[in-house]
Order: sequence, then C-alpha cells, then structure tokens
Amino acid sequence: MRAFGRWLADWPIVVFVLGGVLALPFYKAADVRAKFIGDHPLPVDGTLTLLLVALAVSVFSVLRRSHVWADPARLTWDDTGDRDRPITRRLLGALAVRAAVVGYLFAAGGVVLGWPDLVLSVALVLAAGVFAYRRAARPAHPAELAAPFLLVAASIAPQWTAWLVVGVLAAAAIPGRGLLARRDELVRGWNAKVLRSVSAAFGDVLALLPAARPVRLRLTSTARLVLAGVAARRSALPSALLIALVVPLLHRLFPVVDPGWLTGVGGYLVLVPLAGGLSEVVRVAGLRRWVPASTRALKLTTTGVLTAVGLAWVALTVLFGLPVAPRVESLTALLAAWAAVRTATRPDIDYASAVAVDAGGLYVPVGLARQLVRGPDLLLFGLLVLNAYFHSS
Amino acid sequence: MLVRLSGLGVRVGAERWLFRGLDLELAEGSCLALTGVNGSGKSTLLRCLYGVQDPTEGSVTVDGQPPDERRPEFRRAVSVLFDDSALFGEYTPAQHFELLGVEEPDHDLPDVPSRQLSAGQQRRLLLRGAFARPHRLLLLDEPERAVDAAGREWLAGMVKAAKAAGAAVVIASHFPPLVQAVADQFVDLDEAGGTAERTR
Repeated sequence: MRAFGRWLADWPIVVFVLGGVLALPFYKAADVRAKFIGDHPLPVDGTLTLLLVALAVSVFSVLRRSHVWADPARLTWDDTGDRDRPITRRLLGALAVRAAVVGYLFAAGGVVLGWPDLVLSVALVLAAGVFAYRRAARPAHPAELAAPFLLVAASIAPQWTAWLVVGVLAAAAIPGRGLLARRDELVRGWNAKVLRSVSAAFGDVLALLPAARPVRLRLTSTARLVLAGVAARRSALPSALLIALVVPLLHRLFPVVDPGWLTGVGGYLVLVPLAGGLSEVVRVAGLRRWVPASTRALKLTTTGVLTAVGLAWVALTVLFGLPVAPRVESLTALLAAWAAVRTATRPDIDYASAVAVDAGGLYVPVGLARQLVRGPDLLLFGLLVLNAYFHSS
Repeated sequence: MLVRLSGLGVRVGAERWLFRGLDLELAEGSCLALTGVNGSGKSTLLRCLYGVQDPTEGSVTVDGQPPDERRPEFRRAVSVLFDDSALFGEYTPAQHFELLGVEEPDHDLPDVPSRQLSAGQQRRLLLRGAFARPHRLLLLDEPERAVDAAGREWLAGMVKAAKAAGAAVVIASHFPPLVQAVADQFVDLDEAGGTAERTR
C-alpha cells in the first residue's frame, strides 16, 4: 500500500491524465458516444458484447499461466511445504486485476452503450471467473482454450446462447482441480517470469516473443528458413484467431473507427510474434553465422511470408463480419507485415541515448521512446497515409 | 526394496528409445550408478525416479508408490541434485542450511552471500544441501561437475556416508573413479540398446 502511495506521488501527472481519460465515459458519455458511434444507431447488446470480449481476453490471458512458477532456489532448499498456496494466491491476484478491468469496461460500456441484462452479465462474470480459477492453477489442456472462443462466439450468436456458455463454463469448472504443476513446469514458469521482469525493466518487448517449437522442414533456402521460423511460432495462432474474432466485434461496437485501423493494429499484433525467428537471427551474432543470406534478403522474404499470413488473417476477419475493402485490406496486411519486420529487426536498445525531455513537468526519455516505437511508428504513419488516400479518392 | 523399475522405457521422437525394458531393484543402503555418453538418458532416468517425467512404457516405484514430486511427503523422503537446482544469491551457506531446518554441517565455505562464491564453491554448497537434507533416496545428476580433485574424493566419502546411514543413492556420472568407489550396481545406458545392468 505504501509502495502504491509512493508510486502515486512519483507519477502525479500520469495518474491525473490517465484518471481523467478513464473517467471520460462517466462525465462526458455523450461526447464519447459521438466520437466512437457517431450518427450510427447504438449497437444491439453493445455492452454485453463488450463484456463478452473482455471476459474472453481475460480468460485467455489467465490461461497463459504466468502465475505458475517457483524459484528454483526455493525448490532446492525449502520445498517441503504446500507449493499450491502461493500459486493460488497469485492466481487470485491475477483474477482480481482482470475483474477490475472487466468491471470498468462494463460500467463504461453501460453508460455509453446502454445497460445489458444484469443477471446474465453477473452470471457470465461468475462463470468465467470460476472457470479460470479452477483451470488456470492446473496443467494446461488444449480443450480449455475453447472457453474464450465460446465467450466471443456468444456475442455473435443470439443472446440465449450466452446462458448456454454460462452453463458450459460452469460445468467445465466442476471436475476436480486435478494435478498440481510439476517441478519442471514451475522452473519453466520461473524462467519466463525472470525474462518478463528483465524485459519490463529494460523496455525490450522483443524478449517476450514466443519461444520456437521444433519444425520438420529442410532449411535449404532463405524462404524455407523464414517459413520454418514462422511455423515454429505456431503457439501464437490461438491469439491470432482470437484477435480475428475480436476485430469485427470492435467495429460493430464502434462503427466510426475505420476498419483499416482495426485491421492494421490487429494484424501487427498477430504478425509480430511470428517474426520472432527473424528477430533471433538478426540480433544474435552466434545464430547469424549459421545463415548465409543477407539481412536484406531475410527481411524481404519475411515481409513476403508475413504478408501472406496477414492476408489469410484479414480474410478471417472478413469472414467474421468486417466490411470488405479488398485494396485497403491488402495494403494494410502488407503494412502490418512491414511494421512487424521493422520491430523484429530493431537493434539492441542504446540506453546511453535516452535523452529525457521535459514535457509539461514530466520527463519523457525521447531517445528511448524513439527506439521502442520502431515498427509502430511505421504502422501509424502508413495507416494515416492509407486513410488519407482512400478517403480522399 | 526401495526402488523398483519394471520394463521401463523412454522414447524420444517417433522411433528412438533412450532406454527400454529396464528392470532393476535398489535396496536402502546401496548405490546405483548410471553411466553413458551425453544424451544416453541418464538424466531422463533420474527424472523418472523423481516423477518429473512419465516413462513411455513400464513402471517405476519408490517405496511401493509411483514417484510424484508434487506430493510433499515424497519430497520429504527424496533429496535431489538436478540441473535446475539453485542457490539464493543473497543468502550465505549458513542461511541455506537454516532453510533446510538442519544443523549446519562442517564445511570450509566462506560466510558470504552465495553469489560471491566461486562456481566450484557454489556446486559444493548445492551438494552439501542435497546430502544434509533428510532423505531415504538421494538422486545426484553428475555431482562431480565443477568440483576439484579433492572435492571429488570428498564427494565419494559423502555418498558412502549416505549409504551407511541407510539411504539408497542413484548417481549419474561421467567420472569412473567416483562410480568405482561408491556404486553397488551399474546401468550402462550405452550398452545393448541402453539396457545393460551389472551388479557388483
């Protein structure tokens, strides 16, 4: 609590600005509605859709099990007690944070989009929470990933299906909690946690790209190497599918927001993890020596492969209801792939050139920020250009 | 018998068996040495004995039960030194033994946080911890690694002492003098498709 107080004191302007933005829906609901919905009619069951999307993302993120870890030193020297208790405590903390976010979105959605069936909403939150609590403290099972997709699917289907989802989640949560995490899983979780901490401390998100899985492919050409690098990151596919489902829903909720922007941002988020192979080859000198191709050839080939993947992903969003604009969508896929490659090939961060600038009382490390936005900067610029061109012609 | 393996096999990939059809029994107060080249399955067999890895076929029991390190009572009976064993960098050797709840054994390690110890000293501390922790079964994965000549002699003495105290010891090693000094049974995972066993 004292640490939180200190943080508040250290970041008064950030807290003030962030608090003001987050409070906007509550004291300027009409303005927010005009900004995101405009003259369009209010989406039917808008807040329920927002709630389902928020719950789906929350359940999906909890099922990543970033709370399942144990310090190897503790496993070596102090491991005769109950291992489960600290994991459950961390899980409850993770659920509480997500519940706060979902609660905020529900309240803001209710004010801006109208209030949904409260009984159904509470039932959905409880069912999703209990399901996540029961499943996420135990070893993963592939079938559990159906839960977030069921939640999103319920927002497309008739409202009664949401009750069905409540029933399915509750039933899936009933079986015994099953086995505890094993030592190897706990150590793996610890290593991932250390990586997250280091990555957060140094602002280097590239360290968080998904680890590669084995791929049986002969690596006889640059194209095959790039394909193998993408295929090795197939663990990112479930999140790609979830984003493909969420993007059309966001467009339905906020019709004023141009679909190109949603496609661009969504596509970038989908493609960056798949560029992990390129990132490793370019950034790690020991790996680079195995690959005779030039860096330029690697970048171009990766951009080509990622564009193809991006187009397939865009086709999915269209299938799920995003309005079709083939030329814009194709160019957006290419732009997202290019931006992902730019992010993946970012040189190591140079902390010596952080260059802090006073921005209204808040010191912003502009030099650092410039390095960190490599990739998103291209995406933003490209989307602005595409938006201006296609809306003026 | 404290440890029983019956037809134990672990396959990696579609076709390659690390070992297969492994049968053996290990009594309390005796030592089994696992030998073989890198990748022959020594650490995998140790992981099976600790319940961290499921065998592809066959069974393994420790004190009549399938090993399962998720059970606290199992962990209280089995002490291990694996690749993932670690030290608290901020704690001294004495503090580590306090964590174990045992009397600090005689040692020549300096009273400094473990991150200030040399690699060999850190390894010695890990070994001290594995031996000091109360156990009926001791699993050691290449304990001789990073240990100097005098330390290897000390290590052999510690294994003998553990045996004398009634513990069963399974040791994976690349160091023949240590194996010769302490082992009562041997499994060479290179021989005869990885299933050769000899008893001294």
